[in-house]
Amino acid sequence: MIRRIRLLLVVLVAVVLQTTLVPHLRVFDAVPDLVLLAVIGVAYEDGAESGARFGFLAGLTMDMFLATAVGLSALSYALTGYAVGAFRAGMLRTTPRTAPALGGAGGLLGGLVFLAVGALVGEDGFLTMDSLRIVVLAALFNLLLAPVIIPIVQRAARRPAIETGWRIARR
Amino acid sequence: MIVLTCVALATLDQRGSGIIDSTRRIVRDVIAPVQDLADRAIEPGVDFFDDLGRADSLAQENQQLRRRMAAVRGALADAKVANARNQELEQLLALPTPAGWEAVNARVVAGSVGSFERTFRIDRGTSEGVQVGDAVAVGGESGVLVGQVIAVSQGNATVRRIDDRRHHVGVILVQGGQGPGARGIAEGQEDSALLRLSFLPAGTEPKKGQPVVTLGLATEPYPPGLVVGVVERVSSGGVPGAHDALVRPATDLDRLDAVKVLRRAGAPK
Repeated sequence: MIRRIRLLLVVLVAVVLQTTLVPHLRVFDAVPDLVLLAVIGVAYEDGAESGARFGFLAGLTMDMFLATAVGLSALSYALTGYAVGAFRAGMLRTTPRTAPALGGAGGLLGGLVFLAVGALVGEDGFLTMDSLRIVVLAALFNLLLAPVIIPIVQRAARRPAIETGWRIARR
Repeated sequence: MIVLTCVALATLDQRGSGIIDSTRRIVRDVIAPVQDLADRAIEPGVDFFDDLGRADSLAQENQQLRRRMAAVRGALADAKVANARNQELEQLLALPTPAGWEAVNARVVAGSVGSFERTFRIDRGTSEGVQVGDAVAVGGESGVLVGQVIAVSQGNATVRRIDDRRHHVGVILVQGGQGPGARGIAEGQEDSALLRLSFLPAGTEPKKGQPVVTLGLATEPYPPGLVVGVVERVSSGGVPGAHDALVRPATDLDRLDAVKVLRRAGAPK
């Protein structure tokens, strides 16, 4: 229950920062995506299914503040969350650089899905070289911010520790 | 399941859904107080971030200024022509706010939230009478069109800039006392800050520096005579004999501060 409240707070804080602070960080038409980084953090910590569910909810909230069609961010974040969670599950060993790298790769994937689905539902001007340029720039932005954002979100998404040690009964 | 839900929502929203619009408004209203707090908290540092965010345009501006300086040094006559053109534009900028329109003054609090849109948020909403579709302009007694309201909540509204790829407006080329000018449509472009002026009648050849103002069609929410920009470049249009033009917005849309929301007087609220 407390974990869910923490995750709700993560969405709220990320959306508020994305709509107030991030617009001032625009460079070459691209802005970082703090909400997507939060989704990647949750997926990295808790797996593919949690990542997809959290991505859907966070994306849907973000869609309420965007000028593009509702559902685009929800779908791109959900798929990114699922992909990051699945990738993480298949890793035998992680290094401190894994999370930032996933921030950049996830940003790229999320941006590409956003463009593809947007073009599919009739958004004009999404399948252009300029849109690709913006996706790459935004992914680089995410790569820079990932080492700061992802560990914070991971902490918020961490499940309470459960006693899992083995005990040998005495006869 | 998630994929299907998202595609269904996106399709519904593209076709215009009242339920989605209402949900959007409710969510915005709920988060608005927190956004206001955040806006106030980050305000002192905003100028720094804005300058940081404008690094690209500042570099371009710097290059342009260098080129302009060289040109001015080279030919004083050109400067005189530019001065005369500037005066013409200033006269246009002095257009009074049209009669029959109501205005609400607002402050720009933030720029575009996402990478694929050119919008900004203002601090006025339905409680001050701002509605979706209202025109947004700058200038005291004058009027320069900067955008249109696309989403509104109780305390704030989102404005689509005129250089957004989904914005289009009926315009007229100002002839300067030679009768009514040619009409066309100015649209934003995804890969440029310039507007594309198209659908001009065949035989019309726009000239560099020629001002472009709103036509004010009854079907559009814009008053006639608002300055949109000046012709920057001319290219051949899609039809033989027709020309398109690229129009530079009359004001720097990245540096907006105070704006005026315009709506027809007596329009239903």
